[in-house]
Order: sequence, then C-alpha cells, then structure tokens
Amino acid sequence: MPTPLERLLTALSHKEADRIPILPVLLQHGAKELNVDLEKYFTNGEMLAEGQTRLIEKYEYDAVIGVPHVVEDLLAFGQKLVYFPNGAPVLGGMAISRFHEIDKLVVKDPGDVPELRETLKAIELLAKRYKGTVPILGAGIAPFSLPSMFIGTEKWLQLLFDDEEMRKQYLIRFLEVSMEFCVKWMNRQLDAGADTVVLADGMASATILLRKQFQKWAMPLIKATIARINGPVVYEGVGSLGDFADLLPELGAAAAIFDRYDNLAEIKPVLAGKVTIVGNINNIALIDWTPEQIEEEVKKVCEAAKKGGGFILANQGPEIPYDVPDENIRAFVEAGKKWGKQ
Amino acid sequence: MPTISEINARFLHYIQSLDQQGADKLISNCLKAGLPPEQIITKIIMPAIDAIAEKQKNREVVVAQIYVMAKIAENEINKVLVEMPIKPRTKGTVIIGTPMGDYHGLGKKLVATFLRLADYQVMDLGLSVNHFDFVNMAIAFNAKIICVSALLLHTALGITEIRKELDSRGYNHIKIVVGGALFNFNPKLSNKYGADAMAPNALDAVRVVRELAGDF
Repeated sequence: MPTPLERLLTALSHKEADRIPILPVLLQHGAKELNVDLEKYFTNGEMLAEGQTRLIEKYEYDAVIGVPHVVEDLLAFGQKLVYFPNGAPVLGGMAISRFHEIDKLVVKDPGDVPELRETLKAIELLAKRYKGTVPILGAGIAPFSLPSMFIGTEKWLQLLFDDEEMRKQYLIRFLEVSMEFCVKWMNRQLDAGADTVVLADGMASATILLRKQFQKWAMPLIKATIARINGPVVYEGVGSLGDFADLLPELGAAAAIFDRYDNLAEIKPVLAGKVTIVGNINNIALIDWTPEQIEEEVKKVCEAAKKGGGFILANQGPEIPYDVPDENIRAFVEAGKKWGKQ
Repeated sequence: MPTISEINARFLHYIQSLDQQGADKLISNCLKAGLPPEQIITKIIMPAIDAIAEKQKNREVVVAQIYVMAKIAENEINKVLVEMPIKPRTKGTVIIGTPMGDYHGLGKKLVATFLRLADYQVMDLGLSVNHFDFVNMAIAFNAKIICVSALLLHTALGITEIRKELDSRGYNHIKIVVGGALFNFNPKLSNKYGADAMAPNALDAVRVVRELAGDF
C-alpha cells in the first residue's frame, strides 16, 4: 500500500494510485483531542504537532498541517488577535486605517513573532515524525489578499476599484510589502520541513474579481510570488475559482482548491495533466449533514474528478469548523476511501 | 427625447459597464430636460438596481462589480434627491452591523445601501458590534428589524445573544434578519442561531425586511 506521501505525489503527477488522497482540513479539532482550549492550542507548537498526530492516527487520512490558522500572519504586521472558544481567532483591529500609513507599517520578521515561531516548531516536530511518509502542509495568506486584512476589506476594495489616484500612488507599495512578507514566511515554513504550502487568496477569487481584474492585478503577483517560493504551492481561492480555471496552469501552482459552487466535472478536462484539483465539500454544511448525506456529496465530487489522478478530496476553504462532529469527519474520510478508489 | 424605457436601458448599460461618467451625464441630462426626480428614481435608477440585484442572485456578477455598481447607483440617487423636496424616508428604521469579532463589512454595506435605496432609514453600527449595542440602538430608534451580516461561524453566536437580549427585555417583536456567506453555505443555521429570517443577497434582504416589517 502506498504511503500518504506517495499517494499525494501520484495525484500531483496526474496518475492514479490505490485511491485519491483525502485531506480534511482540520486545524482546530486537535484541541478537542488534547482537551485544551483553542488559544492555548493555537499558540503552542508541541500541542499543534501532537493534535495533528492524534487526528491523523484517529481518522487515517493523508496529510498533516503545521499552521493553526492563517490569521496569525497578521501578527507580523503588529496586529492583535481575539480568541474564541469554538473557532479561529479574529483580528482585534486593523494595522492601518489610511492608505499613506503603508509607508509607516513595520513588518516583523516571522522569526521575531512568538506565535509564528510556535508554528515553525510544530512543522519541525511534524517533519521529525512524518518526513518522507506523510505530507506536511504549511500555509499563509497570499499577497493580493493580505492588504485587506491590515487595512480592512472595504478600504482595500476602495483602493482597487474606486480610488484611481490612491491606486496609482499606493497599490504597488501595498502589494510589494505583502509579497515580501508572504515569500519569506512561506520559505521559512518550507525550511522548517513543510513539503508544500497553501496560499489562501480570498480577495483574488472569481467570487470577488472579474477575469480581466484577476489577469491584470492578481495573476502577475501570484506568479511572481510562487516563483520565489522554494517548494510546491497549492493555490486556494477561498471562493470560486471555476471561471479562472483555464488561467490557473500559468500560475505555477501544483494544485488549486475549489469551492462548492465550482463544477469539478467541467473543470477537470481544463486542468487534466496541468493542475491538481482539490476540493470541494461544503465545510459549513458538514456541521449538520447526516453521514449518509456526506457520503452522497463525497461520491459526487469523486465521480466528477478522480479519473486519471490529479484530484485530492478536501473540504472547500478555509477549514472544517470546530462544531463539525467527529462522526461527520469520519464519514467524510470513509466515504473518500470508498468512492475514491482508483 | 428618448422614452423612459430607453433611458432606463441606457442607465443599466452604464452601470453594468461601471461607467460613472456616463451614468452621471445621463442623469444630469434627465434633470435638465425637466424629468420629475421621483420618476428618475422610480423608473430609471431603481429598475436598474433591481436588475443588478437579480444578477447577483444568479451569481452573474462578482463582488467587484456589485461594489462599483451600487456606488454609482447611490451617487446618482443622491444627486436626484437634492432636487427633491425634503421628506423623511417613508419606511421605518433598520439597524445593521456585523457581530462581535467579525470585521467583514462588504456584504453589510451592500445591504445597507439597498435598504436605503428602498426608502428605509438605516443605522449602520459598523463592524464587530456588541449584542447590547444592537439591542439598545434598536430600542432607542424604534427599529422593527435588526440585520446582522456574518462571515464567520463562531462570531455568528452573537446573533443568539441578540435574540436572548431582545427576549429577556420584552422586545421579542423586533425581528432579526441574517445574511452572509455562512448562511448561504448552510441556510439552516439562521434558525439555529435565533434569527427570524435569512437573506442570501441584498435584493432578498430588502424583500425579507419588507415582509417582516409589514411594509408593502
């Protein structure tokens, strides 16, 4: 039987293994396994690694993830996080409120941020346990989307779509700062032992941007960013990517995560042999779907995308919510094993 | 002089092409030609807004387009309103905001804009709003409806807190309408969190608010 890493590499080479790789994105359930609160769990590398270990041993899927949540990237921009008992933390406020403040923004080195150091420690520990057998994933926010989190979504949209003068003056600076941090942070994760990194790019998805806007602003930036990352990249729309599917091979990403509105049967022939499809089970519906409904949904996506390799079964971005019960996670994985046979 | 429906078609074209200047010129010409301001709003701008909202519902337009289109429509309405005699908005007050911890405000902004265009007095409390503030403001301004826009699952628990606070203070007649990606992915959650209704987009938000407020 192939190892999870062999299974993933086979999928990425657009060939068939014994079955498709299965990747439920479980960033929070490790805290339940360790019976600790989420804030403690998210900020402790040893716990993160132990939580991932217990989850993969419990459900037997195909990858571990070193990062607790992607909002932590913003700690490097001096932002504070507010923790919740049952979900990812949120930002306590924006780093800057006006465009010109970008020039005053101090961006810390990831190694100087205690929480990011813990993430690197988690990746190192996972690499000690699993390197060469189980894929180890890192992740971060892509540079086109980062600015929306240090100045706010509305301001970012204003700069992109509304305020031409400001755009001329500040757009490049925002993207430059974001790319610099993203590349450094992703490479640190790869150096620590991650096999691949996921770049989450919600503001560039086809839910937000028109095709021509994606081509004009986001694509060159993503290409340049991926070219500077020293390992394979999984590109995540955190929104629909279906309308941009034909453009994705140009990005240089090995795989792309699609959302539940994307039609995988239509996307498959466009990306066959070029970019591995990841997705696209509705993560929010997993909370109260029955195991039978989950199996039906998993069956549908497997039938749409598994043929010929180049497919990884996962939830749509970003992660499986804390409130999804264990039996539903098990149903997801088991359905993947049943309907993902190749 | 073109007919109203021709002008309407042209206005819709400008909005869809994200052409603020074109829309500006057209509406200015309408005012100069002596078209009654009420008619410009009800027969030219509002039908265009409805058409855009319909496209949003069918996922035919992306957020970038909706953002700019709504802005153009709002600018033009404001321009026409200046020409009209001052009168209070005829519909009641709606309180809107995102729950505590949720800083995703774009959907909220669109819904607030659409509600204003539909003649509601909208008080936008902004981002990351405490449940007490939602309730206090609704009581203070005699609002029949509180709209909560949520992207994150765990922050949506703030909706339950609003419901509890309203009920415990004897204001259970104030209705809660929710919306946001979360509820689009799983509509059942609106009930679970104590909302009275869920709106998948800005157009439906106006419809749902009208129904709950009894405004027809």
